[in-house]
Amino acid sequence: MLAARAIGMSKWQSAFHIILPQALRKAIPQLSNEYSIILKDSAICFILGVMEIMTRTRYATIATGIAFIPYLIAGGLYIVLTYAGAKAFDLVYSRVRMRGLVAG
Amino acid sequence: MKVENLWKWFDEKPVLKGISFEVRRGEVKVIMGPSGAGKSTLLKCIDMLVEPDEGKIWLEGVELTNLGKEINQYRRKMGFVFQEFNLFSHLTALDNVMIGLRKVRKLPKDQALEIAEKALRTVHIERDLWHKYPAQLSGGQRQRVAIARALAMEPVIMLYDEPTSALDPQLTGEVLEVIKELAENGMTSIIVTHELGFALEIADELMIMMDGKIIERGSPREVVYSPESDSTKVFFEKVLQFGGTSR
Repeated sequence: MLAARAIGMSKWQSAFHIILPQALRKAIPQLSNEYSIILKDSAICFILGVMEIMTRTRYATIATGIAFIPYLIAGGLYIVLTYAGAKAFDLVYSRVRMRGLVAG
Repeated sequence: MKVENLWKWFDEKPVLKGISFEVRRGEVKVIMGPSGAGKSTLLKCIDMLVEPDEGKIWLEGVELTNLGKEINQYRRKMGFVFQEFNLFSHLTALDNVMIGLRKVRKLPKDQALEIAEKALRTVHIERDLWHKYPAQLSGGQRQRVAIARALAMEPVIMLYDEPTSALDPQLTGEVLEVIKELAENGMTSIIVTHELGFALEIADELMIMMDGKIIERGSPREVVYSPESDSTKVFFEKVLQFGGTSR
């Protein structure tokens, strides 16, 4: 912030051009963690995702009379969704990370 | 530049106690003193990064302490180099130097590029480093990029706040060399440093700060070898005992 102001940027310019880009880049790995949690816990995601998956799984159980396999499939679906989401964040992060700041 | 009776308090404790001095165009002033003397605070007040509580500062006849929001425009005229470099870590070396030109001076890209490249060459940072990020550069390289970033804004005065204190000794030389070249080419400079040899070499005037006050000032040789005040004598005795830097 000091350096940005030293070259003549206003506080607003410093925040927008310097602080924010750095803050976002540092925040992305954490956001990736949050995504996994939100997928399960947030109301919308829950209704569209969890309930939907669990409802269908229950119907499948009732319809087929087999309990184990539908739940296994549901579990698999969760893994795929969480993994795909985390991978997407990784991709974004690898594009924007500040090279050299962390090892690798 | 003229600084008149600058006072600054942090939590009721006075850090600057009535600092006054003048700097003529092309002059090189070096400020030395023990840690906690207020040297960093003084430089930051001059650049109005920290607002002084009392006193006035003029640059080229304009009173900076009276400006309000317009101070941003005048800050471009003062190049500030920090002890910790403070490069923008999300930008390459070249972009670090260019961002001020694009966003503050609002220059078109090709013009900004030309000025940035020239500034980087002035500090001897060659093309192969321009697209590296700060974390990929050595300390000496980072500090030189920081100097280039300040130079690109075409300041009328450069303020250096212990520019080599965070560097390994072997990297200190390359940065001091750049500062020396700029000074020899007429850049008005105020340098806070612990490097006594450097001060003796390039300063037009050496000021010793202690406990928020300038306790001694004069030509470097006078101040170092025949100081008037006892505190200065003690300060330099310690410095010379450890071979030339007051770190």
